[in-house]
This record gives sequence, structure tokens and C-alpha cells, in this order.
Amino acid sequence: MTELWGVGSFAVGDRILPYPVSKDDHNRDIGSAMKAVSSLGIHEQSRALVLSMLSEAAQYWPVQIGLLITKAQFSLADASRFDAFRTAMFLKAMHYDVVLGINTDVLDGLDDLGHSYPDVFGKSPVLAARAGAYERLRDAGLSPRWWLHVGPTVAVECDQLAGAHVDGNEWQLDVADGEILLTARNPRAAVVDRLATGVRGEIVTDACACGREDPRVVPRD
Amino acid sequence: MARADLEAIQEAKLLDLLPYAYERSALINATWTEAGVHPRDIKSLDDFRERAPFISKDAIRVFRDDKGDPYGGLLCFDESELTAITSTSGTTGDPTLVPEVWGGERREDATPALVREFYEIGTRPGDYFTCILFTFRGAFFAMVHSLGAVPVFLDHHPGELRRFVELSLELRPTNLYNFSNVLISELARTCEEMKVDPRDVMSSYHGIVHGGEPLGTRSRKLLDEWGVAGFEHTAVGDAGAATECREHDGCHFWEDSVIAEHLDPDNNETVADGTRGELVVTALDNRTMPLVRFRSDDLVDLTRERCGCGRTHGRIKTAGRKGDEVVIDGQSVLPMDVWEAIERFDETAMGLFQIIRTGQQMDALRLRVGHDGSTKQPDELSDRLMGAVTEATGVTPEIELVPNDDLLRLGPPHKIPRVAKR
Repeated sequence: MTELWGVGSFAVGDRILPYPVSKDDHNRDIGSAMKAVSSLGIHEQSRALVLSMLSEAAQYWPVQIGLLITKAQFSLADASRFDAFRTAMFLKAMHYDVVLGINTDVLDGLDDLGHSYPDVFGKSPVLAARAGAYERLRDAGLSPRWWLHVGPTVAVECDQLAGAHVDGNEWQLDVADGEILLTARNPRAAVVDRLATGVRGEIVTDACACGREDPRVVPRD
Repeated sequence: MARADLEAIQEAKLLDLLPYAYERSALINATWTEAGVHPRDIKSLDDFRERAPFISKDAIRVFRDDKGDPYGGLLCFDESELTAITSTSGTTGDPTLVPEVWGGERREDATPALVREFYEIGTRPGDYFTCILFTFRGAFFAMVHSLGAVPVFLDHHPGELRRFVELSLELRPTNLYNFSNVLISELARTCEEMKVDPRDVMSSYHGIVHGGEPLGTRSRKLLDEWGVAGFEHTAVGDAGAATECREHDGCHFWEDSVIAEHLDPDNNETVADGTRGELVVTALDNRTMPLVRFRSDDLVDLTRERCGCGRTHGRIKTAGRKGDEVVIDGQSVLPMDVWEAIERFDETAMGLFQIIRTGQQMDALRLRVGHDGSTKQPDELSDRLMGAVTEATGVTPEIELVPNDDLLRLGPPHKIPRVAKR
């Protein structure tokens, strides 16, 4: 039996599905996270604020390890309405080169607190936002990049702003009726085979101007 | 371990720590210089207790604001050497920044306290272990991995309890970190809605760790009904953690990693074993931001009497924060004193309340109490609450009823500020 690293989860629409991750999966996910970190322009001495929930540890812990390997500093806040004050606190206390994982719950919490998005996020050059939050930040005059949850993995937009990269060594993308389907290329603890992700968009397979040859998801509004 | 051996470990670690902290921590250096004390003056634990000056939350805040130093003069590294900057919960004010230096996938300065507790409760290699918490304190689950167990990750939120039930029934975890009164109360309701027996849901757990706030009487009763032991868990003045053992008679702190004193807040004299005093702590293993003789503001009953479990490490029972106390006509009231009176009624069973405190001396006890909205006679509920609080404290309160959600919004949901200025 494959040795498990942990049991996390991922969302498809409103459904939250359990997501067992083996130690082998986890180690390969760190490799994917390193690519994501690089796509966001994070390097040694960068500082990143990571917004996530503990149930998302399978996706976000590899990102933190990626930051650790890169020798970038990071801070953590929950991606929840309750904890939005912490996001505001960190961004007021110090400079962050990247804020990643911004979601609608955090934006709702900032609304509750009476903060404007430009006031909170305006000094951070890279804002990596999930679906829903991306549009709200854009409508507020900011320039977010996609941090797109696609089933159990995350697609990340580089500075070319031409779609969000998925690690092609790990995942295969297909599209059916405008919905992105996800398939694991390697054996994993969880079976992921043409998973209907609930993400609507197109797939671009041309090499990106940033140099990555991984496929990209261009979400449809 | 014999107390003498434990204190020998403390003394060796302390004498190594003091020159380090004095050289590297601007606040400790300034505090000791002002007091006219140098680490070379300290040659024993007795010297330390007699001569070392205190630092306090106020001193850290003043240093932070005066010098523009977000770490309050405590950071012993250059900021560029840090791996991560996390934070405390911030329930009682601004979160305090917690600088961290990691080696591999865990903090280098992390104490083994929780690993020992998880093992004590029964976690063994291959077990599933429910982690139901937040992200902002970092990767505590590395300690679960270090025991060879498999973390099951859930958010600390009532909305996750259906998944908690399903995963508990499917995976049969043996341990859980960390439940709260809010989650226990809501789990009862969730099981009812899902038509499952909470005793079955909890049947695989050797125990659950409960933290953030004291385990309420009602929560303990529910856990008893479900046949699962609750192990209270509390902070040791920001210098570590303390957790109950199988005796459930106070939370053990690990004295090889922390020096805990309990002092009379008025004259700084050590109070007698088993009595109440302010907890003052020194973190022996934290080289990133060491607290040396830190006044925690927490009032605790502390004993070093050998525990029934065999441990010689001390135990604390938290009574409340010094700054939370209100005095009405000479009668002292802390949040703990009214807790059970609030949660004994079904409408207020979540135990959500705040003391409105404009100063220590108050002309009346004013309570804001959360309720579930089920009552059609709020005045009658207020009367019941008034009677129960009067019986518990000897002071008749003024009650303001508000919906539970109004207080939960002040979260994080495992605890709310128990004292408000208005």
C-alpha cells in the first residue's frame, strides 16, 4: 500500500471531495509548486503572503515548501472571512512581493471591515487570485493574475498574462463542452481520470513566452 | 524525572540562553541594562529568580511603536534570515508577529511538547489523525508526521462538521487536534441532522485535544456522553503549550523547555504551590525570539506536586487574564466565573458571551450574551441568565442579548474576545 502523506480535499463547484495524497505524490507536488513559485516571479529574499485553509493543505503545503526551497519568506493567513483582518494586518505591517490564494471569502471579510482592495493590496506587485476574487480585484482597478483551482491542482498565471499554467508532467488537460477535464499522468493515491473540474475555459498548448511549455487554462468569464 | 534533574537541565539551558538573548535581543538588552543586571551576574536559577528583570506585553508594544520594530525588540536574527513570519490568533488585540526559522519542513525552534502529548493520548504510526485547525500558526502537522501518523485536514469551522463526521466514520482516526466549545456544540446538532450516533462517530478516538478556550462544563458533558476523553490544551504565556494528561487535573507544561514562575501580581513574590498567581515564563528553546521572564498577564493555579500520571513537570489551570478582571463592589469577576451559568441554558449553550469592561472597577457587571434565536421570550431568557450569573458570582448582571452570529463574527470561531470595551 502506498504510504500516505495526508488526506486533504478539493472543490468541484459546491462539492468538497476528499483527496488522499501519498508521500510520492507530495514530493512531486513540491516540484509543481516550484514551477508555480517561479511563474509568480518569486526568488530568494522575496516575501509572499499565502492565503489558504487547512483543508487545502495538500495544495498549499507544497507551495510553502517551494517558498522554503527558494529561500523566499512567507506569512500565512486563513482564506476565510473571519481571518481577513490578518491579511490586512500583514499587508499593513510589511511589504509582500506576492499575495497568493486570494479568494472571495477574504474579499468579503475586507468588505466587512470597510477596507478597499486597492488600500489593502495596492502595494503588492503580484496578486494571484482565485476565481471570483480575480474578477472583483480587476473591477476594483487592480491587475491580478490567475491562481486557478482546477480540481486538486492549481493553475498559475505568469507575467505574460496569457492563461494559467498547469504542471504538464503531472496533469493532462482536456476539454468537453467548455469544461476543463483533469487526468493524472502518474499513479496517485487518488484516482483522477477525466475529472470534470467545473472550470470553464480553453486550453492552450503552445509554449508560453515565459519559457514554460506546460499547458495553460484560459478561463472563460 | 526527579525535580533536581529537571532543574539542572533548566539551569544549563538558561545560562546558555541569557548571554545569547542579551547580545541579540534589543529589548532584553535595554531592559537588563536599565535594571543594572548583566547575564554574568546570573549563575543559578535562584540568581535568576532574584535578579532578572521582567518584560511585559506593554514593554514589547512600546518598543514596537517607539522604534518601528514589528518584533518589539525581541528578534535575535536579521529579518532576512527568517523562513516565515506567522502570527498569534489576535483574539485580544493585534496579532503578535511570530518570526520562524525552519530546518526542512519544520521549525527549528519548535518544542516537542505536542508530539509528547499526542503520543500520550495514543497516537501511533499508521493512525489517521484529524487536524481541524487554522493555517496561520504554521505547520503543526509536521508533529503528526513525526509520529508516523497520517493527518486528515479539516477547517476549524462549523461548516466542516459534516465532512468531519463522514471522514471519522470512514477513516476511523485515533486523535484530534483541536476542538473547541463551538465545534462540540455544533457537532451535536450536526449528528442529529445527519441522523448518526455521535458515539459511533467518536468511537475510534482515544481522545481529542481541546484548546483556544477552557473546555466548558456542557462540552465536557457532551464528550462524556459520547464516550471520548477531552484533553484541555492551553498556552504557557506564549512560551509553549500545556496539555492535560489522563488524570485531567491541570495542564502539564514541559519544564525542560520552559521556566514557569507564578507570582503575586502586586509584589512579585512567588506564591505558594497550588495557589493562584500570574504566570511568568522563560522560553528555553526558542532562539529566534526568546521570551525571558515574560509577564503573561495570565492568572493560573500552578502546582509542581507529582501528578497521578507519574510526571514531575508542573501543571496549570488557567483562571483568566489579569486584564480581564472586573471588580464590582469589591467582588472580583473573571470570564471563567460566568461561563457555566451562560452555557447551562439551551438557547445560550454555545457559551458565547462578553464582559463589557471599561476599567477594572465597575459599578455593574454588564454581559453581552449570544443566543441561538430559538426563544420567543427574550426577557424571560434574560431573567434566567441573570439568576444563574448572580448565583455563580454574587453579582447581579445587566444582560444584553445578541444573535450568536454577531459574536462568532468576532472569531476566529474557536474563540472570541471575552472582554469588550463597549
